[in-house]
Amino acid sequence: MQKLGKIIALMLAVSMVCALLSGCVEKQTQKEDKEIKLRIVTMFSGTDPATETYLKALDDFMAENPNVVITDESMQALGDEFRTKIKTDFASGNEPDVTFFFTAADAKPIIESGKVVAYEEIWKDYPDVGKDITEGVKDSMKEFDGKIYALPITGFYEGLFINKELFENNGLELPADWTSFENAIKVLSEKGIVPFAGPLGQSHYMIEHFILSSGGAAGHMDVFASGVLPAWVEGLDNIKKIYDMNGFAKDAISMDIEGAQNLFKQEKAAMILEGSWFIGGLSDEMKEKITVVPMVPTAGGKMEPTSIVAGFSAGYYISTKAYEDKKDTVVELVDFLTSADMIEKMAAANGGVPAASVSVPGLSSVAKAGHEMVANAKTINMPIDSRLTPEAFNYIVKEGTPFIAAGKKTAEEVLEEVMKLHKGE
Amino acid sequence: MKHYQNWLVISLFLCPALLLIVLFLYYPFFMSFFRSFFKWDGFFTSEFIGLANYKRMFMDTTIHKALKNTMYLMFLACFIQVGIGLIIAVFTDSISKGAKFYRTVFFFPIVISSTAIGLMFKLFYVYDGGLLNTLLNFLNLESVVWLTEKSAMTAVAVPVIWQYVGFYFVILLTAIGRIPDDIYESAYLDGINGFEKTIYFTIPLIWDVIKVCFILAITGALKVFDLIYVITQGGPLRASEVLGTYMYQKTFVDYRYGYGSTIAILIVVLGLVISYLVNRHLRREEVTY
Repeated sequence: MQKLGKIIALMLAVSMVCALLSGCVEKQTQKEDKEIKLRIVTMFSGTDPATETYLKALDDFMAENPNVVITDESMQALGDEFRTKIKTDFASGNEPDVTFFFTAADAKPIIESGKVVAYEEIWKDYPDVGKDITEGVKDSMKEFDGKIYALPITGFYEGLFINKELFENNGLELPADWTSFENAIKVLSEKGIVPFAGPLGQSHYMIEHFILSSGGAAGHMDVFASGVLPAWVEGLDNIKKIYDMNGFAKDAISMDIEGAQNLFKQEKAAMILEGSWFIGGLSDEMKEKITVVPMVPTAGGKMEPTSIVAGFSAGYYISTKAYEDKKDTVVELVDFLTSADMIEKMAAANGGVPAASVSVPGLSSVAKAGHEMVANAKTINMPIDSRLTPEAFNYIVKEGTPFIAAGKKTAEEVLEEVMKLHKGE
Repeated sequence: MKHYQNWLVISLFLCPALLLIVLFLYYPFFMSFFRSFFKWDGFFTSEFIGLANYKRMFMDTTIHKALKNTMYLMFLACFIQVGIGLIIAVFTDSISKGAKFYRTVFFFPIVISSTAIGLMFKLFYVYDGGLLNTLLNFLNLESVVWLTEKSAMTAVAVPVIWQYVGFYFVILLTAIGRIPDDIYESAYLDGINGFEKTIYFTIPLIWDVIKVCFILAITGALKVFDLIYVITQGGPLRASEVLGTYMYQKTFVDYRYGYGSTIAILIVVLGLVISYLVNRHLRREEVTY
């Protein structure tokens, strides 16, 4: 009995020593792999179709790098709140280590403040970061100073989404020019189908496309370089023309984007101007029923018929502070998130155009049509709001389109005011 | 010495509240006033422009429309919101059974989030598949566009007024409940009816509280934002734009923080001036009981 007691005491002592030693070893390991915290903010959150893939990528990265803890503060970019959050973070010195944010007009003040680092600088030490992204795409990300600050994963395109079934059932061909477009509106309207799901109260995509349709690439690009361009006036007047032809829903002036999308998704409307992100929210059945084509050019307009609004307008930024304090980890994370494998997965999730040369598996017929449309486009145009000041562009949205359609203002009056706001007069 | 100690203790206890109010109310207000003289994008660029934002505000036709709509809401808040609150408070006070039930039912909308109420009313008004049009279709009637330039302000005023009736109801019911019964007794002996009792006794006796309700309704109407933003975003054709929604648009959508600050100052000044005028014009001899 006494012997048994001694054995138990000995085992206890041995186990205590082992526990102590293991504690020391654990402490030693922690010391070697010091915990590194990273803060990331993206727009892959909420109902964004790429959210799941993105979150899985963060988990995978943390599993591969157990010493890295990532705090994800992503929020969906549905309204302007996302822009405000990012700009406030940067202005208040609380910038995330990695930020997935817009380029051009939105990024300019952030770049000018020196709070993000140019990839040209990063490539001196880490030449392989973003190596899978094609050179053409990288070129399109160059900012006002000729440098690249953001690495994209997928691009977007906008176009005229058409319910093929509704067109076929009403004996209509897909619109290829302005005449067939107007004819489709007339026929569908007479049959009680909403021809065009156009939210006149939130007409961001309509403004883009109607101006492109009459002004072509050059006219679309020109933001009041030599006054108000007649093509812009014609573009906005065409919205009124469609409104007067009963081309929109009865409540189009008070309708918002979600309302227009629902009308199209419920097959009560035959056409809608939307972007590639719209595909992610459609049912599989609907994805096969619809197609996407470039907006039709106006009769006698300057638009090349394959022209579209598209591009790579967002990417991963690395903050200067993070690059100074934890450059290896932060660069490794961005390299991981912009790898060909990740680009392929994200493109499959959100239906966007991949930034790398990868083939995206399992694309729906509408997504394939979208990719073909991009491949065939002779001119690719960035949205007008990347060139106009937010106040000037919002003036067209709030004080322009609905008032012009209702006949309470003329397109000239609206654009004169927009020009003044844009030029800061 | 004792007086000095009391003063010290009172000051110590008041300090945290004072600190919070200075930090989160007065400091932002004075910063807004300061920033109203700048062309500021809210983040990186800021340029002193003197009174240009104020000049712009006086010329801005949307501000005129928003001001008119805000005044309309203020009128409805004072007369409909406080009025209905007073009527149902008088009725509830005069019943002996079920008063608690009515108190809960009328107060309930206050605890629901404005965003949820806004979303609910938005779904009522939707043209395609909205509740009101579904009801009309059920009765074999044509669908109606509920949110038009003419009707939008009334459409958003309904939930705004409905939500806060219960707030004034509770305040006024509490005030009526504090009136001692013996004041009414001699009047009852003279044979007054319920209507006369309300007009000649109840209202004069709670006049101070009614005045407070008016001031709360005025300042509340100036702050209306969430419900309108969810239902119409100030549209269609700016028909339901109020000062709160326009300030939000200029500040957080257009990134004109300087001009947004100017509109914020206008809201504060209007609140102070109108409250002062109401307080002054409704002043009556105080009745103590």
